[in-house]
Amino acid sequence: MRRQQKIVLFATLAGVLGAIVLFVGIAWLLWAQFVAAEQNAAGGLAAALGQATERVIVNARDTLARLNELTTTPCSPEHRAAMREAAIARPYVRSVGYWRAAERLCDVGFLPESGLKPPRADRIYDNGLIAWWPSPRTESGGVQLFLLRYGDHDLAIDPRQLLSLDEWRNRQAVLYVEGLRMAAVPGDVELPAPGTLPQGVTIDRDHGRVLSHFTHSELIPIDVVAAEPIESLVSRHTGVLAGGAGAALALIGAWLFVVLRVSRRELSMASELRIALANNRLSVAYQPVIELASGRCVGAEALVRWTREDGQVVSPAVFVPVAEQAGLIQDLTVAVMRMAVRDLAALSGEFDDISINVNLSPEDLRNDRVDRELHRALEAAGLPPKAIKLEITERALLNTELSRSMIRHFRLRGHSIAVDDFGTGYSSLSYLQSFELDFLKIDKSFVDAIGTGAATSQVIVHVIEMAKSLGLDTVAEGVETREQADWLRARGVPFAQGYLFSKPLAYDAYLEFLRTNRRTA
Amino acid sequence: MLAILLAACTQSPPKPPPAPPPPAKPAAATPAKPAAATPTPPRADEPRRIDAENFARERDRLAATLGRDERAALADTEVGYYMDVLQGRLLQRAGDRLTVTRESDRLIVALNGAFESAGDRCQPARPLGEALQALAKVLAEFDKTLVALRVEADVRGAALDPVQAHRYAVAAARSLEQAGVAGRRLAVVERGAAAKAPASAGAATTTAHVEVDIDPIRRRAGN
Repeated sequence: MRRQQKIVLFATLAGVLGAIVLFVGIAWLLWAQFVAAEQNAAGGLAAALGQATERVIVNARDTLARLNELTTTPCSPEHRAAMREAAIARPYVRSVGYWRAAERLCDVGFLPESGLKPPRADRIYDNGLIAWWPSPRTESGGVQLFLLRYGDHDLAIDPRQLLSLDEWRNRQAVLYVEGLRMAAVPGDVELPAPGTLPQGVTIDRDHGRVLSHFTHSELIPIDVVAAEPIESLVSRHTGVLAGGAGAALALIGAWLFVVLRVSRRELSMASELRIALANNRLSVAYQPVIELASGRCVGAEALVRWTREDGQVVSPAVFVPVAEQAGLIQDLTVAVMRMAVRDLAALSGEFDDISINVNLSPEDLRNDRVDRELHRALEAAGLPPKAIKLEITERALLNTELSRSMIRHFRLRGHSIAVDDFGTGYSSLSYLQSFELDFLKIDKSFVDAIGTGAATSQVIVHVIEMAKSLGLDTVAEGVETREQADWLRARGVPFAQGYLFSKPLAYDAYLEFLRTNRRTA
Repeated sequence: MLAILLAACTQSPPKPPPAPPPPAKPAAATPAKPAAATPTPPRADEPRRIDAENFARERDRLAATLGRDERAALADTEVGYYMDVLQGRLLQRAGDRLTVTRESDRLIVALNGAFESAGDRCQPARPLGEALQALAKVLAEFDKTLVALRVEADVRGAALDPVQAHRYAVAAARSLEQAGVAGRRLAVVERGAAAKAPASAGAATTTAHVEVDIDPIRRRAGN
């Protein structure tokens, strides 16, 4: 799989997976917030209901105890007044009765005269308090009552008063006291028993509802189980949902933007070049340099080549500027330099007078990295510094004193310095004079003009003369015809390179070229 | 008040009721039974006796006899409520002096206390007497019940001399009767011929375990 395809695949996967993770994460956060809000709301309300229920039961029992302690004659006006007062003061009380054994002797409230006698009590406490939870057997007037009897008196309590859901519209709820169903809203609703539900909020997907179960057990174990449609829960949290959705979209958008940026960078030529450099996928071609007088090959210019994994050849005119922009030019120079030294070392046994020209960029003159690397490589290969000639462009000469001192340093080490593509820049004679140089390389555009009668055909004459006046040797680039070669030789240009002699060659081909040249020259 | 409520948190839910006993046959249709299965007629100054060997049958027979009086008996639908309320009242009035156990529609009250014997006389010592008084007060109110007293062991569970045990049971029954429980509702469970043995003439104080079975008197079918 090609690298680009891998990057696209990776970016797509990263984008999709990241979006999913973000979506799920935000959904989880939202859900956690929902649950926390519900826990607070439902838990608080359940606690309030539990406390209220507890108060009612305690108060009812105390009321019965006080009535039992009355010293008035049973069922006398005073006794009835006390019972009436007890009923009126408590809105949850439906009736108060006075009994002898199982016979109701008098009462106040809204029950049949004989009272209610459910056949089986739900609780008989150790203190003698008896309780009958609401059931069909305690029903009166359409309401299933909660009955408490203590001593000679009993109370009928309307349990609906214990379960007020004013704050819980759209919800169903059941109140359990000591695990027994006490009240429900609506009255006939069936919800899971408390024992089957965990504490807190849970989702009942089968019935599309949210169930909440909270227990209050300070004195009496009281459970509240409530149910609410999921849609109702969602609608109550619309604001949070909208905010969460907005945040999710923003985060997902940001993530996709980052993925796009990274993938674009990875897909860029600079990134590809960086990887090629790291994996030594660049190569060097050698353009032979010919001594015009003898036709002898005296060396070559090392030219960097890059062939992609898919076999596509990238032109140096394309990737060298990219390397300069991406800050990779020194890496590129060092890579070419190492390969040149390696090949030169291989050649040196057979051709000990060969030198290789390596191009430096202006950036290479801003620090001593190339100098150090070159020195180390030559030492390791056992080659003299003069075996590597360094070519710099006119642009490099425009730089600071640092460039000037670096050139001087290279020459002191023993390297020859050539000015490449001379004539295309803005170097003046006086400016060149200020540098310590060895060669001028005449740009191909001037060579092409030789014999054409064009205006530029005279420029090369001046360049050659200028070089001579500065004491510099010249190398003509891009020589393609015998006439050009003859003309240059006649004008005293000692060296040339170009397709007339050879195209740039891979190492093996260059070696063969050298052997052939030495046999014939 | 809260303390009472907290105490209430240890609850004793009643056990589910067994199938109701078959209605007793009308007395007129009951054939004569062998002497051993018939409640022993009490002596003039003693409560009714029930032979321990045939306790369940004799108790039911006695309850059936009492159930002929409609005003002194409960309809089947009233029994549960009646016994629940009676249990609550017993716990309320005498909860710390006695223990109450529920077995279906039966209540079993257990008391521990001393009996004082001197010659022919035998009576509960004061703390036990007071507990029996409190029990009697409740039983007097809940008068549609049959009360069978049984004394068989001392407080450590060691079997008492049957004659002594019978004397204690009779003494306890008398104590209830004197406190207002109708004698016709009272019975004493005796073991075999124990009652026929002569009473001890020596003076003694024995701490015994008294068990009182309280059963509802059901209205007889056809009444």
